Amino acid sequence: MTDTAAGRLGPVYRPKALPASKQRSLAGRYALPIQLLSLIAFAWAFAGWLNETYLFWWDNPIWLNRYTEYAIILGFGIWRITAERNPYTRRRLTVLVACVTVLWWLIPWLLPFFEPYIGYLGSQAIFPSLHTPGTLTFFLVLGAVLLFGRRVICGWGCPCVGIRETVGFPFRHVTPRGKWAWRLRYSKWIFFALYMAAIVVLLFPPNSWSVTYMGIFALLVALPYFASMLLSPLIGSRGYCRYLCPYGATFGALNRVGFYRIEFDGGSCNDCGVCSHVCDMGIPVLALGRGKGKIDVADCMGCGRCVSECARNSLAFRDARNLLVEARRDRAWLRDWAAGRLTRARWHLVAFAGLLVLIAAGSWLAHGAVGSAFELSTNLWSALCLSS
Amino acid sequence: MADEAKGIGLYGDSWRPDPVHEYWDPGAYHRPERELVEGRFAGAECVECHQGVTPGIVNGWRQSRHAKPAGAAAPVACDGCHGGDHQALRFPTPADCGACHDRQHGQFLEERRYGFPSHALAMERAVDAKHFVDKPKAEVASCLQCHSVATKCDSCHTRHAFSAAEARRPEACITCHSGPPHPDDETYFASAHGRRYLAEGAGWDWSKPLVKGNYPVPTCAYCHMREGRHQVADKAIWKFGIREVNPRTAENNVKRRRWIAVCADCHEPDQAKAWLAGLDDERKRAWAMLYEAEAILRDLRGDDLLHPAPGARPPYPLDWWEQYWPIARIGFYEGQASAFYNVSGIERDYFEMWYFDGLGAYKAAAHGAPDAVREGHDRLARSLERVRAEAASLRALGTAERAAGVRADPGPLWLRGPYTDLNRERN
Repeated sequence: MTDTAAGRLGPVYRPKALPASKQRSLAGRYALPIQLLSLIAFAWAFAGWLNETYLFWWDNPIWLNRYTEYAIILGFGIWRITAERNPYTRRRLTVLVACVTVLWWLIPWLLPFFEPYIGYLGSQAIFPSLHTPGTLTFFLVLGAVLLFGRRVICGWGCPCVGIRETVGFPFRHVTPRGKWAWRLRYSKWIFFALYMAAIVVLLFPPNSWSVTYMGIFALLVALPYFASMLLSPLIGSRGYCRYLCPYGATFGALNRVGFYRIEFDGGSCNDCGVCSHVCDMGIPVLALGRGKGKIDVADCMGCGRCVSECARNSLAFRDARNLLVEARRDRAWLRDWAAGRLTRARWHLVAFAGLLVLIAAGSWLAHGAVGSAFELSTNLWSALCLSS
Repeated sequence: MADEAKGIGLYGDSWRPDPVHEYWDPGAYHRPERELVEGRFAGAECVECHQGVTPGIVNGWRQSRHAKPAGAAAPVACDGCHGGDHQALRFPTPADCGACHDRQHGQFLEERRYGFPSHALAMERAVDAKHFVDKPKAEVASCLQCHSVATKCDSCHTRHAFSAAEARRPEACITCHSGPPHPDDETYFASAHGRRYLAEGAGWDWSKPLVKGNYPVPTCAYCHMREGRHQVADKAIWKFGIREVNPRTAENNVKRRRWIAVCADCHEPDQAKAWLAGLDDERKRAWAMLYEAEAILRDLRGDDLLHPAPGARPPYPLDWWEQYWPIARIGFYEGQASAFYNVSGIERDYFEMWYFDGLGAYKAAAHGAPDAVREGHDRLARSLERVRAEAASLRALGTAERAAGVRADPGPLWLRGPYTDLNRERN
């Protein structure tokens, strides 16, 4: 048993070298060529963003321009999904990679429709605009996070996590877990404050100062975003999510006030500490469980590794659905769910897909409504007339 | 105007409006209490006096749709827009016009969502510029004459006829859209579209709306305000042209499709695509030359060969922190306003290359004036050559100065003296 100031971590775990195809939730060390390959892919994603923003080397909008990162996520994602040994994580990665590919890549690229929004945002592509306060997706996602937790977006639909879970997988084992690594998590609230100020700024017509502020804010998000990728060998795959992401902080705040948490059963727990060691966000799961009986911190992005790896079934997800049904404290159930054996899980999937189709269809009708409430209201009205 | 009147905008405390600002921004500056006449008047009573006092205004109104509305609608008389109380008369603002013309006013306001540049944000853009506060009144007095397009409707529909037909003609736009940084008039009139407008436009029926089939060639508003939409930002890709943009972002691809849809009123879509691609190529070439000139300036700054040195220039009055943390700006990317004055000769040449040569070529390429594109790029090349030659002589001078252990003092230039100091107290 190891005691640190962050609390009990359980027995010391030293990652040992494993081939890429044999990796488990409890991360091992990867061969150097694979780590190098990942760093090259990270650099390529950065180059794509630079090219979109500053360089304009290619006229073609598709390749090495706007969408490099999403193509890389798809490529590494297929590898990662086939190599993944935890069925729950495999299911999650499948959905995550599919979300990034379809919602963040193909839909904004192939179908140029734009979101209805409030404030002064300029044109916002249909799904990726969930980053942008005031759009329809933004509010839908906030509501979903309140009900089901930060995992709705961070765990199952975010490209920032997507590239870190696929390209960044060789750096999971270096995730810092000490006292200061845990205390430093408060730094993300600085970025959260800047984000809140940006929300206020965007509610008013642009002026010289607000344009400058938004430009600085965009750089303050983008540069640490890519810098943290390249620093992964030092700070683990989730350095950005843990310390710098203003959006994750927003969703994390809703984690706290919403229905989501992980319940901890101290009676069945044998203090093995695997929950703390598999957490890429560096959450001292065991210590929090022993201390509070639950894990409800803003940092938890709901990857489910701790829950699905707990051999004693001492951890269980809870969210708004558990107001109606009893929480399942059963690793076998979670893995069955991941394998698609429960019909209710399929219904959830169908409902989610239906919601996306609705958003997409509404946006299709609003096609061309870049920033114009007038055009939008006209389009929506004609859509209503058509559908009735 | 009374002395206590203050400016508007971010730096409003630091400048005072002139009396004429009452016209440019009536919502902010109109002061009806100066009126000498007392009493309340209805439309016919206004006309009784004003057809003698200001007959041009009354005649304009008599020709307008306001005086002779279609159908059974009641005429809109003087008091409809200005109010009846002669001690509280209004100069109509866009909001006043929007009380009836709310569709047009709404479209006009929507333009703000696209950010700068924008007709609806033009007033902020003028008075929020630091050099508006810092330069002599005489040099910035004319800014608001055009930038008031944000604060009144009669920039395009001149009073008091407020004719839609008038605003459909290119002349309504070129009052402001002319001159070196935006030669929209010259380049349009030099294009095939503009040639035909000049030859035949007098005979066209300008009362027809701006829709497909009504006009043989497009005018400004036909393309930029498609079907009479009162905003021009929804297709703006290169915008004013003062920065390089990526013309192939997802957003700009949407805007390209909109352009192609406009062109397709008369042309093959493939031709329209080729025109747009040609504009992008032109811009890329122009920016390659501008970046080269900017790199030369950066090198000179690094070797301390610019006089006055960028870091020695006085900060704008409101950038008080720059007194403690001087920022050595050069060129546009490091602060647009720094290019306007208090700069060395070579920087001024770069400014003119960027602002006049580059933008002239842009507007020529966008409006289809082939010879003006050629001329713009000739001028860009000449300016670049001049910047190179000046840089070489500055380097030679610097080497000689270092060898001799002296440094030529160009004097304070504009760093001190009435141009810089007094303006700050008198504006």
